[in-house]
Amino acid sequence: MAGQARAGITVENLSCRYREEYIFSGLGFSVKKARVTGIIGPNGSGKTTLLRCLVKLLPLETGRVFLGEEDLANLSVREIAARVGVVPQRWEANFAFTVGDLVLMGRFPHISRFQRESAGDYEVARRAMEITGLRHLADRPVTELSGGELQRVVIAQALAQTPEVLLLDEPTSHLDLNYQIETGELLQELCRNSGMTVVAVFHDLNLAARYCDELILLAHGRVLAQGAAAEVLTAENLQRAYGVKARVEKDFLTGRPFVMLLPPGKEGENTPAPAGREVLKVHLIGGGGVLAGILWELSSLGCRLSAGVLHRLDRDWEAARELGITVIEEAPFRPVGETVHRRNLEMIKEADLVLLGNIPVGPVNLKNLEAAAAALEAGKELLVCNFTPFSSRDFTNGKAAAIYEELQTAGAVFLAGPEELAAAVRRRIKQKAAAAPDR
Amino acid sequence: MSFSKSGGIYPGGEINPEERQPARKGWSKGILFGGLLLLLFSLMGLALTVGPAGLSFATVVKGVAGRLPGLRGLFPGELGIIEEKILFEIRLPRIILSVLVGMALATAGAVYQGLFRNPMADPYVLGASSGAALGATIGFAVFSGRHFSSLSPVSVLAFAGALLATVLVYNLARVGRRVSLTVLLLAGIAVSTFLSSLTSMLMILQGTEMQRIVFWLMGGFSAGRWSHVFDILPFIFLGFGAVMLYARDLNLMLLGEEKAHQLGVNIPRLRVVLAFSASLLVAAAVSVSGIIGFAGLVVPHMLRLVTGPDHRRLIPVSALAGGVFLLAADTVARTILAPTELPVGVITAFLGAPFFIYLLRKGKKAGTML
Repeated sequence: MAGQARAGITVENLSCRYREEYIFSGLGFSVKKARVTGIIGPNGSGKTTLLRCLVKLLPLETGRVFLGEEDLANLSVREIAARVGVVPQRWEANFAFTVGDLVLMGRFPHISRFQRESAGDYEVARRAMEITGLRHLADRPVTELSGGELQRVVIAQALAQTPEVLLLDEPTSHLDLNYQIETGELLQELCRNSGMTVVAVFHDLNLAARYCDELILLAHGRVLAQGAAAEVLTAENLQRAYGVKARVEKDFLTGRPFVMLLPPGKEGENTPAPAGREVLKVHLIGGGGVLAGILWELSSLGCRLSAGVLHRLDRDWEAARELGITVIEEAPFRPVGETVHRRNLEMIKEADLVLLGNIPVGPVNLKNLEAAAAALEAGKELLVCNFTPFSSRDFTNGKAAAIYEELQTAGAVFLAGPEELAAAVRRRIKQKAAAAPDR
Repeated sequence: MSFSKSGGIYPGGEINPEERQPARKGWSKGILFGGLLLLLFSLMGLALTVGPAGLSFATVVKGVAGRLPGLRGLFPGELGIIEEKILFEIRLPRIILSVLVGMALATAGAVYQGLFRNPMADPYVLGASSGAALGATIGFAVFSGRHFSSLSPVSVLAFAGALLATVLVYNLARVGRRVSLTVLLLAGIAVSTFLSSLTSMLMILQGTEMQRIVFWLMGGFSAGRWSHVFDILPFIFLGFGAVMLYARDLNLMLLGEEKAHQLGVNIPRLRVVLAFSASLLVAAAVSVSGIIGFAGLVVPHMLRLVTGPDHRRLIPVSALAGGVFLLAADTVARTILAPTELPVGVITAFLGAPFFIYLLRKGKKAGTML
């Protein structure tokens, strides 16, 4: 499989249609040789159609497709099959061919009608099964295979074609997680070791980002963006292509972009309450990531949120910033200072409800616990997330524990878990709405 | 940027260099083929001894041996002229004809089953036989042709009829890239019934020939002569040869049209070649022996259970078994109510129809084909 002529793909001014409906008009892009290129895009954007056009399964209305230097129009179906292998999205086996038989069928475009399979053909098929880990299944009828194994058979068959280009249509969508990763790794290896050009349609943006050298974002019948994953997977592009709000982060392990989808209308700002409804103002005391999910949940419930004192770069701080919440902040690792503490207390004064997260308490943020106590003294309603025993979160040699116990005696509501928290907040929202004067 | 390691990816099985695939399979392949060949010849021998003339076994052996160069000396003596005629002008051509027609129908059945990706396809069910029958009837009626002979109006029209029916049913049953079982069977019935009604109409209009045509249509080999054998032989060779050349393509078609295309099969050409060769085989069979149902259905299906789906094995083995099947059916047909002879189609339908129903039920349960 090594040492072959290398082919990239060039698509020029491609138009094609199903019956009257145009899927593409004037599509153009090129795919680099010996790279994994991912095609992403919403359903109906023509990803599968595009793959079909690349192997002449669909006639082109206009335009040309080049495999390397060669115009696809000048190649027969057989010649194309000798250069391009296709792994379709779904493929059912309802006949009793063995895995070996099926993989050997990949040799079809290389064998003359008047010949039998040669020893060389068997060798290629054997290699393809080895690469895909099917060697031990060679004599097994395909009807007995699991979905994941079957998918590998189809890949092995395509590899037995010894193609210069491998096209895959959502190769991982029916696979278990472990095989998704293995398939992704396999694609990268085929590029690196065999110089194969791989073009794969991905449904899962994160898998695409992780395993593709380059991405092509298709939407509305055209290429919306093409380039490295980080350039293509941006919140703007995803909004334009999928109409969704998304957050793109850099995965801290792989360094690849990582996409998180947000429900519509909840990104960026603390959602303004519907007119004519009183909004529950909640101040949250957190730090160390304990507010994960809580900020989100309360924001979804329509509360107006503020948070403090949070250390900059802290997880809770990042989340609060992402949600556009007013944050009282302190520099990283620095004990909460007097001024900041005072501002925190002022925020508390404005709130209807104060919520103390399930925070660990140490010298750096002892002031936050004091702020909670102060809130209670000021007659504010205090909810305390007591999800884990405080003794395991106390790093002040008991100083904090004393304050914490006092909170309970002073009438704070202790909550054992997130469900209780949500219920308590919901109740409070209802009360406030009921107390509001009718207009 | 990525940090994937190179080397083995999937947890692979141990690699055993001793392991070679084709060796052991070749063995069983040979046994099946050889066994069927032996069975065919034994049955042919047996069939020669059976019949209303009551020739003794010894007579038959003597007659046959007398024709074989090396054995002549062992069995001295001559047969009577009548015995000689019965043996070599009546029984032998009939036997060979039934074998050839069985081969043709089974091969056509295997091709249709592969092309439609459906084990219920067969020349009879699809209406190809009716098409050939209509064509041949037109040939008989309009051109008052003798019977099927090379490039006579009868042969050409039978071929055209079979091809027309095949193409018609194929296009009716195709929904997108798939062939629906229900639509296929219904289209087969509709086309077959329609063509048969045309045949009936022609027969009524053609009063004088009616008796002969009716008898021929019922299916049988009682009128089988050497001329029939030599007339259809080239067509059967041609059809069978073409089918075998495209057997590998047919295997790939089982993976679905899209996958076959991706693996390099020229599907439009394959369709044309297969429709032509299957029609050729059906036309040859029908024009000498009328409509014989279900032979093309049962045989390839049974053999597939033994050989697996590979058409390069399935088709030759089916052809042999088809010869055995139809010879056996014809021998039973002419002996079971002797001296009255049953049309062989009665025997094949008697076996084939229940089998068809069984397939229908099984397919309904399992939902798998082939």
